[in-house]
Amino acid sequence: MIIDSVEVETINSFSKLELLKEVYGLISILPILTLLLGITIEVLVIVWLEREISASIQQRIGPEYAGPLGLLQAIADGTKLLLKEDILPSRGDISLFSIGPSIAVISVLLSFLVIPLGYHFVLADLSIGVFLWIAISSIAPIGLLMAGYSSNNKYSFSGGLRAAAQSISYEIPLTFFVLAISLLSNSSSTVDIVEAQSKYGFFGWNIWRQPIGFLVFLISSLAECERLPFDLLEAEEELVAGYQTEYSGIKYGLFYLVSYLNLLVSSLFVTVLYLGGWNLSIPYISFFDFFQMNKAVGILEMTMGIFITLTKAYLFLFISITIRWTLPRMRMDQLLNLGWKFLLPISLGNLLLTTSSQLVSL
Amino acid sequence: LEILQWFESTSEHLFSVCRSAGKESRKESERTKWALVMSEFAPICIYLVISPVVSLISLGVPFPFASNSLTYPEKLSAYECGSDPSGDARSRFDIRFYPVPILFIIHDPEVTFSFPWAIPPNKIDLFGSWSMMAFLLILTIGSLYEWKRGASDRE
Repeated sequence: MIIDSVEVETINSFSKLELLKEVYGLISILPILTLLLGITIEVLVIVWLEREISASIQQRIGPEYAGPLGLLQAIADGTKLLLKEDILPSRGDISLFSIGPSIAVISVLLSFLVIPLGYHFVLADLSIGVFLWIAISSIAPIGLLMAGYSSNNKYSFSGGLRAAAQSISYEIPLTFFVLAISLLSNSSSTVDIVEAQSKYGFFGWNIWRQPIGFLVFLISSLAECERLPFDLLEAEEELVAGYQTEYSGIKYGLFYLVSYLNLLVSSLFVTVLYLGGWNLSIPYISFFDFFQMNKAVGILEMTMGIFITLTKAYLFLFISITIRWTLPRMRMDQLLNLGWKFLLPISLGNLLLTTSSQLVSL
Repeated sequence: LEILQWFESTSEHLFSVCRSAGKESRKESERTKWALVMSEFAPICIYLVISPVVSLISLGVPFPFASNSLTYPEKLSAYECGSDPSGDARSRFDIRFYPVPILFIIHDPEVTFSFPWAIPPNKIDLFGSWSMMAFLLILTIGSLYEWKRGASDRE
């Protein structure tokens, strides 16, 4: 059979995960479980990192009791939340109450499908990769609205409405800038976008071709993740936690998880779209040509790719955590004005500029 | 007669080869198509099943562990900073939250329709760009109108 021989060839030349991806069927469950394990570990790291960096900025010591250096703090938090009682509000809609956080978690988890950590190291190399992320991230406001409405609380409801309004207001500039990037790379596949940035090393990154886009993408993704300076919903009704008020136990933990997962997805997308993905950006150095063994080079390249992507993603994480403790909070009307009246015309203008430059260069 | 018989036999042979090759290639192309579709979308489908399972597992885990103390009305009622909850929670909400999703609905298909326009600029040349400009112009006039009318003013 021709297919089997082709598959055998490709299996022999690439790494283990590539093998598992090529053979269709239930065997592709193993990369997915690996990814979920990786995501869990990353969330633990991000929670610890946020607390340590916040502590350093505020000149105090961060977590130090849970595990060495406080590294197991997130596990301690998660276990505590698991053991708490699950309070269901009276006269609230129980099914919506339970499903709300799950929908938010599912939509953020699904975004990890199209993030590439290496050339063949992506769960689903779709030709519409970034569009899938945009579409799926639009599902999250539904979960927030469900959560706000089903807790039988005026303030929760108002907080849920504000959360949904903020989320959807900043999705339009975000989508326009992602569109400008895929215009520059002639493709919506995340792998193609990273490949298009690999030609000139450090100077081929999309950040130099779309500087406004980088800044606006930063702002919009911070607004999508509901972090400061846009975290009105966690702190405005300052004693009451917005749409998360009536939640206790692991459902509250799921919202907590959504926040950090969203931050991780946004930072990974910043590296993929603007900072060059998995490419080592020193131009014209390809020292892998010296090695003769194919398999060792493959695994080394894979590890380098993951390491580089995560380093760039953690740079953005550091920036967003520092912004949290540096900038003051924005009011709701300032927030929505920024989204609709400032970022939307800029995004349209940028798209037209990019299109005309592409047409001129044709 | 011999020539005719030879001609018939070769044409039959040729036809049978073509038919079998056609069937095989059809089967193979179907199988490659199926393989392509499955290898591209199988991770998505499996992931679509796994991620709800992950969130539902974390919802179901507390059941044997969590404390189930008595439920009394104060615990289950809505939280209003300590005082008794006043009024029904679903009476009214600010009407100014209503135009925001409507604006989103209008601009979101604008972006969605821009996606097929923006990706292949070399195939649609200048005519495609100008026709999309007409679409964007109509939507821009609409957004200018709603800006001037104050639909995006908040509170």
